[in-house]
Amino acid sequence: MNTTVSKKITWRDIPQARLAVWTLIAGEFAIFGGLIVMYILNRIKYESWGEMAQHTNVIAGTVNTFVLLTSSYFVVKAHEAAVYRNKAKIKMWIWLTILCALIFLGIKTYEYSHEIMHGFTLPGKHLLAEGKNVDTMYWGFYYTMTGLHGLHVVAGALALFFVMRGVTKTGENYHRIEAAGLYWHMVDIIWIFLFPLIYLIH
Amino acid sequence: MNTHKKQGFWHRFFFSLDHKDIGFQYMLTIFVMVAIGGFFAYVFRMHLAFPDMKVPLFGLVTNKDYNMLITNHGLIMMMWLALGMLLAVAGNFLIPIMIGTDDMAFPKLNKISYWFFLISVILMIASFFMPKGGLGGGWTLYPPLSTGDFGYNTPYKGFADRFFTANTFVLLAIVFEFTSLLMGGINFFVTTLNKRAKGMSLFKMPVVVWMINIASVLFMFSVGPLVAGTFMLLLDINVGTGFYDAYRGGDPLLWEHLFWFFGHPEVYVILLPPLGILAEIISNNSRKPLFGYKFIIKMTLLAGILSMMVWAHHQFVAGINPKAATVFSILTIIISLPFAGIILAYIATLWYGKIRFTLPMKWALGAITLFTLLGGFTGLHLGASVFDIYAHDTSFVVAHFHYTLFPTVIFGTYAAMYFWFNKFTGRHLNKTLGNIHFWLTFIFFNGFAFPLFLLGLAGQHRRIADYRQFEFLMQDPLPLYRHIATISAVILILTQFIFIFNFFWSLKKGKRVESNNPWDSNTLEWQTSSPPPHGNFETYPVVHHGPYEYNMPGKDKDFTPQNEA
Amino acid sequence: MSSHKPHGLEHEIWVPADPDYHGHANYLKVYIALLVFFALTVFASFIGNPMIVFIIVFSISIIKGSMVLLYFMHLKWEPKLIWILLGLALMTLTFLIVGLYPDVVPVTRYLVPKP
Repeated sequence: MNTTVSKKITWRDIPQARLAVWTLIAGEFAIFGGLIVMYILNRIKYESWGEMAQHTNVIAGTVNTFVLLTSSYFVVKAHEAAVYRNKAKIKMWIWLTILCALIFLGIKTYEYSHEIMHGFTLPGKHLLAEGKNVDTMYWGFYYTMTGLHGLHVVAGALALFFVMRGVTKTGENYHRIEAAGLYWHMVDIIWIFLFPLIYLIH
Repeated sequence: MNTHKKQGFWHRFFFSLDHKDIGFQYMLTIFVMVAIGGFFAYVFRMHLAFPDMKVPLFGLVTNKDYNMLITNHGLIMMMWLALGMLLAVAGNFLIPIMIGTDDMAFPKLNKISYWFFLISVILMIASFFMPKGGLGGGWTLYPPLSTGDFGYNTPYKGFADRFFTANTFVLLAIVFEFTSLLMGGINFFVTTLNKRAKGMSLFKMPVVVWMINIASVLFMFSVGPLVAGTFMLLLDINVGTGFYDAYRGGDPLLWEHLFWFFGHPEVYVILLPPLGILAEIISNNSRKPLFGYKFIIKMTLLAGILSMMVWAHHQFVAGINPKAATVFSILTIIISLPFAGIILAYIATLWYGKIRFTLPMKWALGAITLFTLLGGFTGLHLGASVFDIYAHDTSFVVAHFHYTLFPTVIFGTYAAMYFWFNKFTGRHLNKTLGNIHFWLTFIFFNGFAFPLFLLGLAGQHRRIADYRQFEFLMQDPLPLYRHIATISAVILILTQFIFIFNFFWSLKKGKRVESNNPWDSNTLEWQTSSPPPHGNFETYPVVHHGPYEYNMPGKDKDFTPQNEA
Repeated sequence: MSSHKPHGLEHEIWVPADPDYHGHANYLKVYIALLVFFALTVFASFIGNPMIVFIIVFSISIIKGSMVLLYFMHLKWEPKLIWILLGLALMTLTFLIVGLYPDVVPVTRYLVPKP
């Protein structure tokens, strides 16, 4: 990697917004990590969940992963633009990121509606009727994890939008772009872990 | 910089950004919660000692009422009093001023965290008035008890039917409270790291600032899985998933694990801030440097990490893997070592000190004595699974955790109140009333909690509303013990009115402080005016000394303020 | 709030000393590497055995996650404190998974439904 280090940063130099967001991210990792730990353990326990995983829409999930990875790249470009105080570029990259968020949410809605149409709801009455009691919990985890992640996507997109509006209007507080961007990257990282665990292991 | 204007009520108690005002808002909110929790304790204690009696102010206690009272007493005292008082109130009042800065790093976030806290309090109180009554599933919220009337596989009659229940409201209240404390914790952490006064290195911070920060970080990490778990329980109740339903492949034990994965570190989250407060008070009133400052911090960090590895000792009788139980037993007994180290350091601070028996010192010594001798030692016994399996769910456990939590939470809070009240209001609390309050509380707390040890060893189960159906529990002298416990508990609760009166009377009419530093203390909050103005300091202090330099050689006075050149 | 700005607290409002404050990677290269790993993940899912798939896929996730952390989030240039915070989160999860394992995986509590 092409890296340039201009100055060694000690913890006293770390601006408070960035420190706060990093602390928040560590806390969020504990929340999502807890969910993922529970999911993994149950996934090992119940082999029949592999069959359920085949009912997820892998293509939609793959496209979504691509969208989020790309948005992560856009956000980091927005941060770069903020370092050079380039308002037009900040606006462009952040709008692209928000577009990605909307695409992601749209695809997710499409997936949800299809799965609900096929009877894979949270209470899972069809599965219970078929005697697949255990498999209702797979869908429980599926909706909880992706739903909670979806809420974070919304929160991250809103944060990016308001920060961008503030920065482009006032021309101050450029560091906030990075703070909101950090949060967005966290949303991306969580999806990087959720996608293979939910969709790919059959 | 004294631009302090007279503010209106709404401005001061709802929209203020000042950390001291926000601390005060938290404190008043918590007073309301404590009043409710204390009232519940009074009702069910009366019922236990005198069944069939119409409890004054409540009436006849049915079994359902009893479950509701005891559940909500536990929830309120653990979640709102202990966590709120020791993280939110102590952190808000002390951190910015002790590290010598004007306010929190994010004043608006601080205000928002208070609003979240207020929402959680409103939701909690609303839960008592739901159509089906308050929650009666135990404060640990174990499913399927906490799924209430719905159990699992009850027919689904619509969303509102399930949403407007105490179960949903209590869980939502807990989620809001956790969010509030998480935001508050991030704020404390960032404030401490980024906004310290010039010259205030990490090891020149007072111990209490360290302790509140370690507690906040510990809270943040331990609560994560439980936040996820709470969402899952909410879905179980409201939507009908089966995360904790054995019939669907879920596991009620999973909730117990998640709850105690938070619940045990929470004990230390609650314990650490009072330990910090005690360090300040003991060092100040012994006129001696705190013994082993760095040692205390290191032991605390060690204890914080260890505290995440011991949670399953709350579940020895819940059917966990017995081999795991052995590991958890050993780890539990190991975790007493760092705390023994900290307490020894405090005792060593007292050694050869010129001890002043001021009111805060009395509370501090009382807290250390009771916490160590009865709370801590019985904790060792209960930590060993062999004994715990016998004593679990008896009154012995009740006595144990009241002896750990009451001295730290209540005594620690009172010690802090009597110590810092004059700083933040500019008036002294009344000393005579304070002394009466201390001695009555000390005596009647013991009178309430000690008989529970004896009752527990005699086999009194703790979740039973009426003991008359068990003959062996009605033999002498057990009913007598129960009467002593109840009468002491009632007097203990009445005693607290002395403090409430003292607090509000002194706020308006107490004796004005004659100097800014009545305790001859070193730390920075005493070097500004009482009460401190908005922004805390006239000119920002520059720190030259550690926080505990009392009786240093070559000085004409026995204390050295931290900002003295 | 007072408008007074104390001395000694100038670092409260942060203005980067120079545009290159952080040091950074070539973002495009990182992005392409991420896409390559992403493609590998999808291909790996066609291997039959779920356990092998799980191990491969999860390790690639860790690589991808740490690439985003290190280069996009600039963790590589952050002070130790941030590493410690994230390490504590990881430690918490390790304790959780070790403590939960013996009570979740080998234990069967559910009623076996009648077909």
